Amino acid sequence: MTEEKWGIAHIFASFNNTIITITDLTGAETLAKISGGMVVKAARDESSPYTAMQMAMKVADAAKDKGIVGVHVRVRAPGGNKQRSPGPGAQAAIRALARAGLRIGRIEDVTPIPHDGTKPKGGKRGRRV
Amino acid sequence: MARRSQRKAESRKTKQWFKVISPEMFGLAHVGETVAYDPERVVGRVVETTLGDLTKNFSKQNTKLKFKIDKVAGDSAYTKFMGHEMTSDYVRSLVKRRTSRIDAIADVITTDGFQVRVKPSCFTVKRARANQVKSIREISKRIVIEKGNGLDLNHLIQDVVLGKLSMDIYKESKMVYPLRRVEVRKTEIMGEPGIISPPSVPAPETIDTS
Repeated sequence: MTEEKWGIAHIFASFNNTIITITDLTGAETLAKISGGMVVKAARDESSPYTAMQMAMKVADAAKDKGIVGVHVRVRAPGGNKQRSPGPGAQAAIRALARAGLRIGRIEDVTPIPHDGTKPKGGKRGRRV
Repeated sequence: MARRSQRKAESRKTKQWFKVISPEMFGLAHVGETVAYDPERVVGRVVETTLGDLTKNFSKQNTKLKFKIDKVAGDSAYTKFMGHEMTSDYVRSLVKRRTSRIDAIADVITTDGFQVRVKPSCFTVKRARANQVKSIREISKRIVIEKGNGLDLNHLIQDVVLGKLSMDIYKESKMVYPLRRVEVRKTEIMGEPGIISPPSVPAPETIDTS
């Protein structure tokens, strides 16, 4: 146990992008990070599950280089007055991290939930398309 | 590409790994590691673990403990307890429709001078009336303050984490209205005796002897 280094994988999954940051257990030191734009060219693909898979592979390799054996996962959606449920990349990213050979510890949702916040954008009658 | 990875490897060598060790009240267990250039940078970082990981008891996975690094000796970083919290998904699994969730907040000063904020929650079987909610809140506040003021930090945290405190609240509050569950949702350490220096000075000696 003493020799096995664990980290935390912070996965931020919105509908427009996915960002994975692997840090040490305190969250103060970043070991590896990646975002959708580092993998694909088209902006609309940044949030797709397939991109998330490729991203997870890359960060997992980078983290394993630094001696990380497993990660605890913290999934996060935009939160606040935006949507509370993680975007399409979250599921795929966690699965791909496991596939890439990192052990997965606790999985936790850390979406910021307001106790009562500001008014969501879009006006009184909502977004009219 | 190759050159870049080489440079990264070099810069990493200068960084050191530190072992994070849990406070005495949690048995000086090995919690994890952290990297930094020098020991000073490590002080003040916060590690979060679950009670289940520390005690190897899977039923306690819902309790998160926060430890703050306050002292570094060699390559081990010693921590102090900062507070605990129930995982948000567990608390949310307790909340049901047509029942009441009664949150209370109480400030306690322990016998060894720590100021602790304790946040218990009661969950009723059915929806309670406003006056019942109010009196349950009063009872839980009273019990937390009565119990907490007579204990030192160590025992208070033991009682909170092992569920003794919530048991006491349950026993008294169920006279008012039948309860499903009582949990201490969160504790926070608000203040320490004499601003850090008194507790952290004797701590290294006890660590060395044990």
